[in-house]
Amino acid sequence: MSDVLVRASDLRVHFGPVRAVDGVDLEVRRGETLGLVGESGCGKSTLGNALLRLVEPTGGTVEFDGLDVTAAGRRELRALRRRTAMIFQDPYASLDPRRTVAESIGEPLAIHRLHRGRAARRSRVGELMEVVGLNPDHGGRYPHEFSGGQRQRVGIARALAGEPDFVVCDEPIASLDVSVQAQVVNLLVRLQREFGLTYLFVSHDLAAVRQVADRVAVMYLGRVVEIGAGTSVSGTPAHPYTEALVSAVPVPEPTRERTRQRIVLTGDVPSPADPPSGCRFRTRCPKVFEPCPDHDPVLQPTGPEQAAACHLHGVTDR
Amino acid sequence: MTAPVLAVDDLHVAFRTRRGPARVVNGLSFELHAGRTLAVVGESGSGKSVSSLALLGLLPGTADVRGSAVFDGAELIGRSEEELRKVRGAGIGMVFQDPMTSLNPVLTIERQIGEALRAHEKVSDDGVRSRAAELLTEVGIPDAKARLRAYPHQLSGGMRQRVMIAIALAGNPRVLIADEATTALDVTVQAQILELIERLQHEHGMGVVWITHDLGVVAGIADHVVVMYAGRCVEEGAVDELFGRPAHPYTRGLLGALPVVDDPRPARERDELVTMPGLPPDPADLPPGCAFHPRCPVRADARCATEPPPLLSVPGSAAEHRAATFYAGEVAGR
Repeated sequence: MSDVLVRASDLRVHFGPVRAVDGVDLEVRRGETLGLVGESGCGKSTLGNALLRLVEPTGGTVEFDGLDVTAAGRRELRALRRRTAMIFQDPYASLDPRRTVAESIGEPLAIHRLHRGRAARRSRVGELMEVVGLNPDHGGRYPHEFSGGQRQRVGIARALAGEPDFVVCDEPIASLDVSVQAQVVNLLVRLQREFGLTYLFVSHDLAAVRQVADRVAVMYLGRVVEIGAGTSVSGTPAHPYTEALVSAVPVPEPTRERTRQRIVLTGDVPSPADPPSGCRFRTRCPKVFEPCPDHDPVLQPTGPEQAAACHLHGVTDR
Repeated sequence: MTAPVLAVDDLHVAFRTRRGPARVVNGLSFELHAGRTLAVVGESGSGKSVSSLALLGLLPGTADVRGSAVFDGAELIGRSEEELRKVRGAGIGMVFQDPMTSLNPVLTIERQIGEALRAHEKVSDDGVRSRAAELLTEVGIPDAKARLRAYPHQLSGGMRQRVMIAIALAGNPRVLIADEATTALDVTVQAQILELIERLQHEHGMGVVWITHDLGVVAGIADHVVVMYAGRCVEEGAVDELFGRPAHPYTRGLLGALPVVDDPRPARERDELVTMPGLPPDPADLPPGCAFHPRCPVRADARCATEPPPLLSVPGSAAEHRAATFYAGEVAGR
């Protein structure tokens, strides 16, 4: 059994002229949490969707446990759907408001013909609700009767229903209050250890990603620009964009905030329909130099368990 | 010390609802001095935004506002719409969370800044154009003259928020209220906006009220912090004291709930985040006693469930560090 569960090779997802994901190579290892950080529009959610084939890739391949997802037929895709799941940002928008939460949580069981029979299904739904910290007696309630944090727990229970191996968590705490975020983060970590899940944790929040992720990938304009152990990527960033990102995260310590040298990037992110030539970050990079406009850097090792796509570590070209 | 530019005293806001009054702000007091930054921190429903809207008379008719808010020596609460109009913009400028919904999508940037300029003085078209371009340059928008003809959708989120700040500055206000002004922005853009507001504050000597849920942002910009829970200030103090020796169990809970970005340990060796069980109370059904007591990890005093704790100085701290808890002494001493 390979220790890689999901592998993307030169993955591309274009929407018309917009190159949301534009040549990503990425491996998610069995049992790990890979954090995927980046700012709005960098393609991180699209990448998460493409790994589950919820959007059709324009090019490249995705393998799940050795199976070519991009070429999978209907039957293979259905098996894949059971083994993968997604947790969304807004649990209110992702739950059907006219269904009870027990119906929503039980739906994947019906689709995948698991725990057949009413009694078996009901007891499985109750079990799932308990696992995520909801009262199983509240299964007959509707989404609007729950708070945001509880709705996110419903979304998590639903994601776990088919006993998946791989779960994409797409900004799962972004719309929750701080005190509730901590509850959901702890729950996700606990579930992963209990069920041996593999997570892709997509978030704009580097602090939250560091709390849960073993390894971290940083995206900018449709590309992974750095990847490595969480401790390395945030502790000794190798890409100037990661450096700026790390330095921009505010920390709740007044003395450090006052003395900190923040790297403030100039300008805006270029349009993903018309990315700059060479390195895509060069228009905002504080360390830009001669090779950047002409050579498109590839990810290259910069240390043990760390790689970055930047000419500072030796000029490369795709 | 000089007189505060804005002094709020015992502010109450209740909304009339079918289920009875929803008490969203319950006796909030604070003072803001020129050139200083006051951060008002709280989670959704804590009353932090409603209190600032109340000052400017921007709440709907279903809101009952009581208490006092003195701006520049004059009372704001109970003033007529016409009088408040003179305060808005020229006295107190406001920047909201989402610039896309605060800007008018069918008007050019020039028209929208012009509207703010004309609200307080007579200006010619040419005067508006040059002053608007100046303002855009001041908030760091390159090629300002060309941008004046742009519509909001043609600008990035960070640019739109800069336009909102330019509009807020148009009346040369003495106080700027920023309500979650960087929440919708990416962190690298947030860093740009924080730097901009800091610079403008130095140049104009404005007092800034920064309303946010983000304690990291607060640590970087605030002089004084007010933590709100269920419409009350539960703790306030100078930023170093409040972060260094938080006295209220809610403040401590909020700080503990935050993941630490530069904790050198890998994720698997980290402790769980500190959580507070449950949810903030429904403002139409506030618990008796201390509103936080049903979620409080300390809660060892019989008074917690019957008597709201007064906001008192924290023993062993500077006088202006105050907390509304029966445990301030013991918690801070730890």
